[in-house]
Amino acid sequence: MSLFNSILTSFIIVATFWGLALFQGKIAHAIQPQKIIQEVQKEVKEPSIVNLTKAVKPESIDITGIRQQVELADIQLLWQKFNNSTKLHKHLKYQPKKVYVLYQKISKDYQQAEVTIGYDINEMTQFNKHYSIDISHNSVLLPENKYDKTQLSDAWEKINHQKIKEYVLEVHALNQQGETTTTQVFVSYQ
Amino acid sequence: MDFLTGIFSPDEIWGIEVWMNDWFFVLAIGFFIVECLRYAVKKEFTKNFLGDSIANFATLGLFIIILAIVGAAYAGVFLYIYDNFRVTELPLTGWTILCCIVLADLAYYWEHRFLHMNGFGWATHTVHHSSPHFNISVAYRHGPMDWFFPLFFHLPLAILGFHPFIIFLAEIIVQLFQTLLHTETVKKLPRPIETLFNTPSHHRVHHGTNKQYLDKNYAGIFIIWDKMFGTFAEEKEPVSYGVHPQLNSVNPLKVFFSGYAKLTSRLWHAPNWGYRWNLLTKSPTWAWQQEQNLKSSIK
Repeated sequence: MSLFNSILTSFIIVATFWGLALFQGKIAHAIQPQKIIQEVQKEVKEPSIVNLTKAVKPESIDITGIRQQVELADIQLLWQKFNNSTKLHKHLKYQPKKVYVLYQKISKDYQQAEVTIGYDINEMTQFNKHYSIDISHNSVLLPENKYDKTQLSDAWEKINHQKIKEYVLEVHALNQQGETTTTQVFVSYQ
Repeated sequence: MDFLTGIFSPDEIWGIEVWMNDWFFVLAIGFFIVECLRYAVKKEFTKNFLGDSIANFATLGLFIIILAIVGAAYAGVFLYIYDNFRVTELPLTGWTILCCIVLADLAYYWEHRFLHMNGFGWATHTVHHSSPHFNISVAYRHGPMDWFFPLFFHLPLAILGFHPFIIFLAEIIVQLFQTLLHTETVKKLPRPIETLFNTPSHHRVHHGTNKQYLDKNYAGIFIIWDKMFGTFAEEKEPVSYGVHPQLNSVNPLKVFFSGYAKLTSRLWHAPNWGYRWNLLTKSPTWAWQQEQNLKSSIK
């Protein structure tokens, strides 16, 4: 084969294997909406009178992951534990789109909380425990955007301290490499 | 199937690379000891063999020193290009790793062929070829610029959306596979393996100075690239290893810098600038032929 034809053939081979690598992403993306539709259809079948808006916007999220009572100053240790949890990550169906950080039982001085870092159970092939988060009555502390650590911690100052807090929820949107692209923060009061 | 679809974190991939690199070296040393015993039994364990092997590991030491200096910059270029110029984002899965290994192997073929086709590349790669022996230690015989050329051939993978850590892992896998091919202990493997994969037999041909073996079998893992692109040769007659002209030294420093010393000398003594340009861009065989022609015309 001439040098020109060899180089041309190489480009075709590159395109083929790049396509194969891209194709798996397409499958992964295609699986998720289908699953959501199936979930919605299940919900629609149950009650005789259906509120369609309820089916479109879910009222709760079920997450699974690592849960621990921690000093909030040591939250990085829990992130390390989460990142090193190969058992959890091996059960992901595909590259996760979001990671959830749920703060509950927050102490009055904001020093401690029960923190759960995890994924939506719809993104898992299997899971042991899962935690349900009622998102029907929460309020937005930070709208979806890119924030640094200081901006995220400043958001906590917007919490109404007069009310009893049920949870604070951070939702990190992830790219294909698992890096955070945007974050939203919500608070829910009892 | 879990391996193909499960998601890896960049840290996990990095961990696999470090683990493979470290433990493979231990395995290679073990295999080299077996080779030494075999040569001893065959009464082929000579003083020159020992000196050459020590020189091989010494060039590895020198190469590691250079890598320690430029390694971060090398990785930084990949990360910068990936962060700023990638056209897609491929997930960190086993499937992506497999696709990347095939493409890194193809990139390796072209890089390797490039090193044999021009004087500047050959000046570093000639170090690897200059040993008159063929054993595992030769796989660790590196030239000073061996880290430089892979950059240009593997960087496009980062633009295509392969995470740099996956590219480095694929490069390491190709390199480790190649390492195992440097042996005379294994003659021929079963036919399907010889057909599809690069083997010790195919790689012995690559190190040969026999006329029919010159500039053949550039493959890393898959010999099919050579078969497709017309650079394949079968091992039919015993191989004589080394380069033209033979280096005849086991001095690690002389071995390590031999290629660029030779190139500098040729450039210095070149008759004109056109000849110098050809020395850098044309195949080393061209330079050798020019010298042979000059010698015969003087006679």
